[in-house]
Amino acid sequence: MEDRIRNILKQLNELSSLVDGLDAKASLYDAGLSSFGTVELMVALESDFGIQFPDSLLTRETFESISSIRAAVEKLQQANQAGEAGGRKPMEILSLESASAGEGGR
Amino acid sequence: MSDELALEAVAPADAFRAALLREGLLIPTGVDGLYGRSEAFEAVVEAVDRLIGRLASGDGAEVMRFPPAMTRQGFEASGYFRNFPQLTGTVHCFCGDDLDHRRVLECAAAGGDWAAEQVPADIVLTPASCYPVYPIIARRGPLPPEGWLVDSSSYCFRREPSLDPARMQMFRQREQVCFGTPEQIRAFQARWMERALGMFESLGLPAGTDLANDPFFGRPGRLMANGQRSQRLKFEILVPVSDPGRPSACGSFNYHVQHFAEAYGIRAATGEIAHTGCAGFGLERVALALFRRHGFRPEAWPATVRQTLWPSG
Repeated sequence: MEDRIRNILKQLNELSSLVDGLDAKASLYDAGLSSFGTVELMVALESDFGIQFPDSLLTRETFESISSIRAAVEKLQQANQAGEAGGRKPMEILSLESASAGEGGR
Repeated sequence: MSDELALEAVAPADAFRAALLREGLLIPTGVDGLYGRSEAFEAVVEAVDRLIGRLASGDGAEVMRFPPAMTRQGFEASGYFRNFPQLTGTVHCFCGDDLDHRRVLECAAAGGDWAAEQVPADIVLTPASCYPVYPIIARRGPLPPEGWLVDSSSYCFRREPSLDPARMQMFRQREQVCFGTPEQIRAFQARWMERALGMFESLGLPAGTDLANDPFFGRPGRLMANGQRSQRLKFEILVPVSDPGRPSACGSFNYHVQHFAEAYGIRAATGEIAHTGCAGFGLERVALALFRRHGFRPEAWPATVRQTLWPSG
């Protein structure tokens, strides 16, 4: 999972050369990730993992670090699986959990 | 917000608009948000514009005035269409010959779309008066060590037709634009917010400050708006205009970090990418706030307000 996220980060011009040296908890913003870059990162993560970030996760905190991204992606994947198993839409489950999800990246 | 709440909110704005049209201050064109202005309305807009000029007078800012259009190249570099496609107004022109012209007219006569033949021109409508400034400053090369200040103004266009007279599609902005270090931009932002609050007080207008975000488009826009708020980049001064319960932004104070400087290649004297910020006023909105607060006849406004607007009078 972490390697997959690192590979996606390497595709961003702003971070490509720095990714290998970054700690999972290091701030991507301090490393040079811009607001436009964050949007590109969001789109790339959604496309690669086949997920869609709900509004509650479209925050600066979600994309703060490799570990915060990992937490959000894992949460979405779990919600998707639970949704498929229980017949509930992933968005419904996430909206129930959105308060804690937003804190996950801090 | 539910539709029901939105409808309730429109009512006071609609009443204010009707009164402005009845008093002849705004002249309807048949399109929401596009108005002619009367002599009395323009006199107030001009007085507000000059008042802001007096606030800026000691700063030594370079004055730049622009027509309501900017270069398409400069517009594209800004990233505006990426963030605000819904607000963008482009200019399209006819570039054909006699034969093409005849065909277009025949097509129009037959109920077809004459505009289908129009092609994008090399200019677009200006979305904010500071936008034409950045490419000009970039072309001059690195900034002086002390940074740079520009006092800009132009008509601006935003495609958001509304019955609320405070939300015009074409309106004037007077903006101060600051180029420098993060510390210089933050100080500039704070200085202009303080000046603006003083200005509204001297105009007898109740004003409050709030953290704000731009109306970025779509899902990426939510992320952009969240980032703008959490970094405390945009502040607005809100004054009651159309609806006393929902004050409108009459001033906007923005720290762009390196967004514009990166987009246009604006460098500090050290060679590093510079930082920029702007402090802008919506001139029509300030004028409308004055009419809302003090009545439709400026000659009957409180003496202190008149003295602030027309110091010699």
